[in-house]
Amino acid sequence: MKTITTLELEQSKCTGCGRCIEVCPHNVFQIRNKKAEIIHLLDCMECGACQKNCQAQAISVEVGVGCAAAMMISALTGQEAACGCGSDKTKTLQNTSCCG
Amino acid sequence: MFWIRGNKKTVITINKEGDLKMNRKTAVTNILSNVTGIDINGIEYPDSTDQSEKTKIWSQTRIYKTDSHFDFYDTLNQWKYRWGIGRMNAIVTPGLWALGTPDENSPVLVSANYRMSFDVLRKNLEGDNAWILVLDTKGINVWCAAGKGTFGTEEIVRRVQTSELEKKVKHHRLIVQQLGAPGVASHEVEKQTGFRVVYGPVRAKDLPAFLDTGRVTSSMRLVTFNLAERVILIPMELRFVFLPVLLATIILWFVTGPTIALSIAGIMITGIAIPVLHNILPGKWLTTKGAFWGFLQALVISLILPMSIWQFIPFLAANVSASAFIALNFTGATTYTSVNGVRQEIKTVIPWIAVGIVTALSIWIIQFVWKFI
Repeated sequence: MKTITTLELEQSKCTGCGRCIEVCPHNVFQIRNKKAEIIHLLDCMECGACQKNCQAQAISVEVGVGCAAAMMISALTGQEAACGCGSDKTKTLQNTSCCG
Repeated sequence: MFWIRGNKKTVITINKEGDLKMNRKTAVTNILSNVTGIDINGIEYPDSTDQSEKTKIWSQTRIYKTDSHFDFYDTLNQWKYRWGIGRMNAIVTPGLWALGTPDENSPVLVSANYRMSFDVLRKNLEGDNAWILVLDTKGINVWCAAGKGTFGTEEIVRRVQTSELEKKVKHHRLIVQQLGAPGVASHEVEKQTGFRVVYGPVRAKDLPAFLDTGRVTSSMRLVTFNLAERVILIPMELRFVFLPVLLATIILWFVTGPTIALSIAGIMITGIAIPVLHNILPGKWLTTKGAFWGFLQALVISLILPMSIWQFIPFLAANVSASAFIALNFTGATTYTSVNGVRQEIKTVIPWIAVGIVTALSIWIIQFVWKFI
């Protein structure tokens, strides 16, 4: 049961600015020799903060919510999987505990 | 623009274009999203959001005033939101807020307009003077809103401009809560506004230390999921199932006997056990933890309430499957699950849960029909 993640870092593009380390909530990156490197890949929760804040566009990750309820409802209704909160489209999910 | 407050249900608003709106909810939303761009002199607040003294407007300057004081009303509100009461209307007016008496050197903190996010922020800034730039995140907390992009680059840029922030402060620094980062491209914000984004600590309680030292330690950057953080989620997990499950348990106890009734009651126990025992239960996946708990639960109950093997098998199957499913639904409330991880978990586990439920149901139905033949 190996957990998978889509996080990838293209080190050749990295400028070593350290933004990824600043934004990562799970300590996935570190800087060594002025380049970022992934040290805890399996801790990645695919929130996309690093990708969004990487000016050099060295990071890629499939971003989404790790919420089973959202995904199952999305599979049943054909709507996009998202936390229901704050969206008129997915009213059914508005009261899940993730929003809070 | 102005609005007149009638009874609790009705608000009449007339916006700049002269449109008349009578619906309370749309009126409130419209006011909240438009208020910073228009002269807000003389506008009162809707009773569901900002009625206390501390949230009165500093008229003419388009700055709202707040402080760090936390009274009974605030505490009650927080308790309510934890139970999901009034949560979707827990909205703070977006715009620039003054906490205490900030000046041109005071820090600018960016927050969401979910009441609980805002309250936690101001509560932890006791004794400080600061600007709080509240984004319009539709009443959603920073992390969830960042995931949706409502707490994002565009909204920050818009708020910085409409609040004329550069006239209020000399420095060019925005302190954004770190969990807002999935929605904010810091380099874009800097390019478009001239303000440099500094990601502050994850937890508001670390803010005073951060403001003093200007440094965020690596532990302040790390998201945790400790016992207190998990237990606080239980009310939201239980609030919808509590009454129906209690009712079903009582009815089924008399109609079908205790085993089926207790299988249903197990749903509630699991809802409490998963958050509490999260770190003790085995397995990396939540479903593994849930299935293990369901097994344990069935075993303990079968010891207290002796049952035959044909009572025990469906009871075990129902408990294990239901607990695994409930645990699976807890993924959205955790702070570490990823979209691809959960997708893999769903694909692997759902067939087994289905097998368990079908097994339990078919044996129960056969037994139930058998009794009448």
